[in-house]
Amino acid sequence: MSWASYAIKRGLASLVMLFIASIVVFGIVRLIPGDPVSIILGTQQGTAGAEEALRRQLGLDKPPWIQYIEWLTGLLTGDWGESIISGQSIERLVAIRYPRSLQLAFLGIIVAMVIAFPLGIAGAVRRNTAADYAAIVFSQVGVSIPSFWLGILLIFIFGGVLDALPPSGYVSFNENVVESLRYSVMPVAVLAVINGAIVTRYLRSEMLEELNKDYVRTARAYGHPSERIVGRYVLKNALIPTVTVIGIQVGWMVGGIVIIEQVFDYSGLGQLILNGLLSRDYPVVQIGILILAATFIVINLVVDLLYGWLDPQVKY
Amino acid sequence: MTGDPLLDVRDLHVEFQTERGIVQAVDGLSYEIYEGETYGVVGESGAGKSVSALSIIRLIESPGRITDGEIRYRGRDLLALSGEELRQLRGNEIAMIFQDPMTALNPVYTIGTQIIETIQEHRDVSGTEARERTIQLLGDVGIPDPAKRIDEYPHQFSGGMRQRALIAMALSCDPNLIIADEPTTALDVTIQAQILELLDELQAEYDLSVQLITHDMGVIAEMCDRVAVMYAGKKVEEGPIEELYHSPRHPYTVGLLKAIPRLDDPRERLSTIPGRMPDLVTTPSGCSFRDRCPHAIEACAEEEPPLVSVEASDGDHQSACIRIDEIDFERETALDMGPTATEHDVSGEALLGVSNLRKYFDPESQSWWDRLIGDRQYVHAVEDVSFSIRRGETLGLVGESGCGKTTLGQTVTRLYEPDEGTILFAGDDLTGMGRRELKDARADLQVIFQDPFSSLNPRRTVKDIIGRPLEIHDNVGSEEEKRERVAALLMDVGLEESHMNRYPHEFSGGQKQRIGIARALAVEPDFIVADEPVSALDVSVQAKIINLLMDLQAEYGLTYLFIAHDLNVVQHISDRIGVMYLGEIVELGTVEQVFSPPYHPYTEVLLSAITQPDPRSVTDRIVPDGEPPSPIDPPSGCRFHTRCPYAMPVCESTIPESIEQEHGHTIGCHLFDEKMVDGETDVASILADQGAVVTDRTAGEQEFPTDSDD
Amino acid sequence: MLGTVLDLAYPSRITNRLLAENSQTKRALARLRQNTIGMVGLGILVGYLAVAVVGPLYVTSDPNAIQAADRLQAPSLAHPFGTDRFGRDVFARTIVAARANLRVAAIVVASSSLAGVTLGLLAGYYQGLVDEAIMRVVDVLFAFPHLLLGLIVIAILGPGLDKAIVALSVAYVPVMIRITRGSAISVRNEEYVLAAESYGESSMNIMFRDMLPNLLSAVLVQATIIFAFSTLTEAGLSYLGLSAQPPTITWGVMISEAQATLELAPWASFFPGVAIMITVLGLTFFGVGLRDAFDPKTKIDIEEGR
Repeated sequence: MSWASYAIKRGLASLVMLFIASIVVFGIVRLIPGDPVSIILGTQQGTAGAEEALRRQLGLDKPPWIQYIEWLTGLLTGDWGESIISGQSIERLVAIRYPRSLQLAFLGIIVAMVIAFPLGIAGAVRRNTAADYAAIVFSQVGVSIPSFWLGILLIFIFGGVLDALPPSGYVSFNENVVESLRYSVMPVAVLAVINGAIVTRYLRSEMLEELNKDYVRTARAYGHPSERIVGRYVLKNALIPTVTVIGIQVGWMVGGIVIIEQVFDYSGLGQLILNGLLSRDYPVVQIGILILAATFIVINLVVDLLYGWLDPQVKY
Repeated sequence: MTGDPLLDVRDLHVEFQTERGIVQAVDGLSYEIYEGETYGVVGESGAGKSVSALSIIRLIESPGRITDGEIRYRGRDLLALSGEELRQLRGNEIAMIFQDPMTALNPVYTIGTQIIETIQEHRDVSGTEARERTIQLLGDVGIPDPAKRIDEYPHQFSGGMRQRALIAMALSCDPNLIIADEPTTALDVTIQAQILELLDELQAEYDLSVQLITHDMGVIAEMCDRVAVMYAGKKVEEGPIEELYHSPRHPYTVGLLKAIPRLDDPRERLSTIPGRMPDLVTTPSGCSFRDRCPHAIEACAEEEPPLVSVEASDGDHQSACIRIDEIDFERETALDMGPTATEHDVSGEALLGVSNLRKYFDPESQSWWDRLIGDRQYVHAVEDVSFSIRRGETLGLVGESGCGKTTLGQTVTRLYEPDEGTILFAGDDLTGMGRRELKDARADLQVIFQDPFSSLNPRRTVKDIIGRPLEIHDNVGSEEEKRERVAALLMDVGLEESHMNRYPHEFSGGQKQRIGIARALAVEPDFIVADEPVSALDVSVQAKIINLLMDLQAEYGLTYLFIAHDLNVVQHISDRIGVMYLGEIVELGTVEQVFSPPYHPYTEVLLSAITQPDPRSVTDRIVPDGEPPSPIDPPSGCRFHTRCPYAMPVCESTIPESIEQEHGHTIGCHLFDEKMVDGETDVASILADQGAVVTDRTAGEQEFPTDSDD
Repeated sequence: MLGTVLDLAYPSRITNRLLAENSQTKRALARLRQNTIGMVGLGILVGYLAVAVVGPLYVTSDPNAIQAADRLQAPSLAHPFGTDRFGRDVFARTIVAARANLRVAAIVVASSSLAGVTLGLLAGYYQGLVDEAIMRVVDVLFAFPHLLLGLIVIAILGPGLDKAIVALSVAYVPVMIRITRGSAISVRNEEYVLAAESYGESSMNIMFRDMLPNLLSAVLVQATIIFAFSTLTEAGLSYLGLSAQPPTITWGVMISEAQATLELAPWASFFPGVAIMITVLGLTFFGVGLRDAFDPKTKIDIEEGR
């Protein structure tokens, strides 16, 4: 089977996943123990009319499958409903917030790679040197440090003591590029450390493992220079499992963005979901989580396709 | 052997730093290789063969270290070369071929890329030129359709094809010396025959010197001009090939040669070497072989024996034994190999009867989706197999890897569920049995497994491992009784009672296999399937286990289904032999019937492919075409027709029936079915030629073990 | 406390007794003792367990009691970690939170291991359709990152510590299934399993008597890692206000509450964070050390990722 048909097959699988994700997310409201309407309205006993209106808005007055079909149709046609709390249209909210989160995540993963690749490779090739220890310490600390706490530390140091960066908030990229980036520095740094750490660790250990393989001995026995052995022969082999890890890391970032945005009061999609959760704004939460899940599914699709392209042995 | 040597190794020492201390892997090794010659290095695992080979181009890695010695190649001191000079030498002047073709190539680059980049590393040529040369090389080493296959990845190549690709890489920069480290060990015997033939041709064509390292005395006999025998990091004997094989002058060499089962050996005990190689951490003083040597005297412990020239040789036959003049080697080599005739009665009724057995598997690569609704494919592992085994008899089952012999063994014991056919065991139909009945039947039906390192649960003591079958079949009442029974079993297989509370990792490979045998014996079975029980073991250990199995058979009247890929071993222990190819038994008969004409063409090919530990037996062999086809989509008609030297049109279309040649000897081949033979095939002359090759080989060999009967 | 952390001989004696009897385990322990990283991890782990189990007994006053007079005090002898904006002792609260964390992580590890090992073993032993069924569900769960899975469960059940435990247990089951199944498949191919079948051992016995002991090392290593990451993830959820709610004290809650007074009392955020980090560091060190000790040659797979 060719790579193209593998891609198609894999793409179809992603669509199935998306479909399952939509059912799971849709099920949230239905699975709430007790009556969602009274939970949402809470102690402030609304009038019977308000309750009825909310019930209708949530679609709870209809059988689940009809409601799901209506909900899905809405999703596909661009009518994503309104926030219970603010009454704003959800597609507008998402259109504003999602790109902000993407900006953070994208920068975060780029910076993470820029740190992780040199460090991971150098650590494996130069064992027991300063580079190796740097790789080990960085990856160990980065793996163990709580992201929100690292964020708070950065705020305290760079936002407080040094007063070099704005401690929290968001400025649009279109509005002011420099300011926008200044606001992004700390959250991006946190994402980069945390993602970079695990990638460094994996790349280092995969490189070490590959360096012990027989084909490396063959390459040495045929007089290939060590730069080529490391940078070409070994690296490509080590990249294959690492790519998967990068995919998993991006997955963490999809959830972790909620935490990071809260730490830096960065008004992206994560904060939208969190506030929705805390205020029981279910329509917003559902859409928000579905978008995060979709993002993860799409990224994993890309990673798998990359994997299939890198590894000739992949079973299509 | 004149002029300066191409490679001159002097007093080489290589050490490895390990947890247990410093291992002297190579301890004062010297040898030289001359232009155009093939120099063999032989020895059991751990003798230091591979380490010494890697040392030549300084591929020893930490924690290993070359501590002393001199390696000169064309007069240049290789140990003094700079990193850059060394790089220029590797692959360019000295090229290596490694043992495991499955891992020696980089899995993520095409075969072509890997060879092209090697050429461009050492030669200033354009990409197109390098590519053309690579295609030509791939063609030279016998890879079909090289222009297309150059762009394939290693996993798309079979093991034999990968080894060919590695050989092409080795030739790519016209080296003078090729070091081949166990180049055929991982391959099947027919593929081994192809590769050895290829190496032989290429050596002449490319004007090469070869250092061939192997544990296989047969391969050495076939390929080499001179040979060194290594033991515990040292060279104990060296000489021209004929002299060393026919007049060995070191007790270890004698022991090695005698431990190998040979094609024409009668069914008798094999000679063995007691004990095992010392671990090289605490090198004992004196001769390192003395603990295992039947001729050791006190003087052997005093100092390390020097290599001395064997009298009546021109100084090119040397041995490191201080008693070289005292031992009667002529007598030793010919000495009776122990009490013959583990007589056993094979005239009983059929204990196991298998008819029309069939076992298919789903291929691993097939997804569940394809299995359910798609185009479902099967691995045709066992196809319509019938045979029977009489009580007290040994039926040997032989074939190359993937032929289905292991599956057959496990289906017969219902470790795999048969898809079709019946298995009658002691009159009962095994296939129809329910869980409970089957469990009871298992008390009479046991298995000895192939890999002693995998067949014992690492987290159980020997007592638990051997005692568990006893518990399950309620053969023991108390813990005390279990202890006694296990102790008795351990004695039976040549171990000690004190071994009972140890864990498997504390034993050597041979001892582990003995534990596995004791476990199979525990429930006092009538019938044992021995699945390649010696293939993971060194030659000297192999002989001991074979002897043990034969002794146990004589003592307990056991019936064996003995599975192996090694024809020498199978014929040694078996009464009758079945030859398997791609899931079918193509020939079945007594040892004499199978090993003499008329042959099934595949049997003939197999017999001719075996290497014999005797340089005089080398003759032209029939090397089959290509490689075994996939059992997922086996060839139509006769499954062997794609590789058969005598294939006729009818073979492609019609499945041959098994035809009885003489009493109890069946061959499944159209050559033996008059109705099927077409006009062009001269069956009579084929059958007349048959055996010419093989009988020559065995005839030549007769001289060696028997020539001093007087 | 420092004494306990550094006294490495003592913990190794305990583990010796717990795990001895089997010579493979003995050899692994001998190797672990030589493994610096593993022993440092073990030391931290034992220190953490001591603090979490015994520590709260020494916290005599109510860690939630508001002491207006002691607000925002810097670390001192009376308050080694300082006080927060309500005058509560950060040291006492950090210790109490250790026990909360131990409870959460232990339940998560136990439940995800129990479910994961059982399902993984079934999938790896029976293979075929059983395997397919289990693994397709695992695939679906893997399509949701842990934290997202947590968010979904919390969206359904509402915020709360117990609900976070449920969420995390669910989130880590797939990892455990995958690890167990992977090792189970390789153990399944060992000939001793076939041998057990050949002398008539029952499937249950083969799975739990023959295979399980050979999987435990991989499971133990992964359990350590899950302990570490569930600590991190729970802290994150607490910080967001989705897990424990005040007055329940967890490290995440403490950091969340202290963020408002970050510039006035950085210590109130700092020390709980250090506690999380050291705990996680110790666990991952120990996990890596264990892995190297169990299996110095072939690599036991660890699935990391928060």
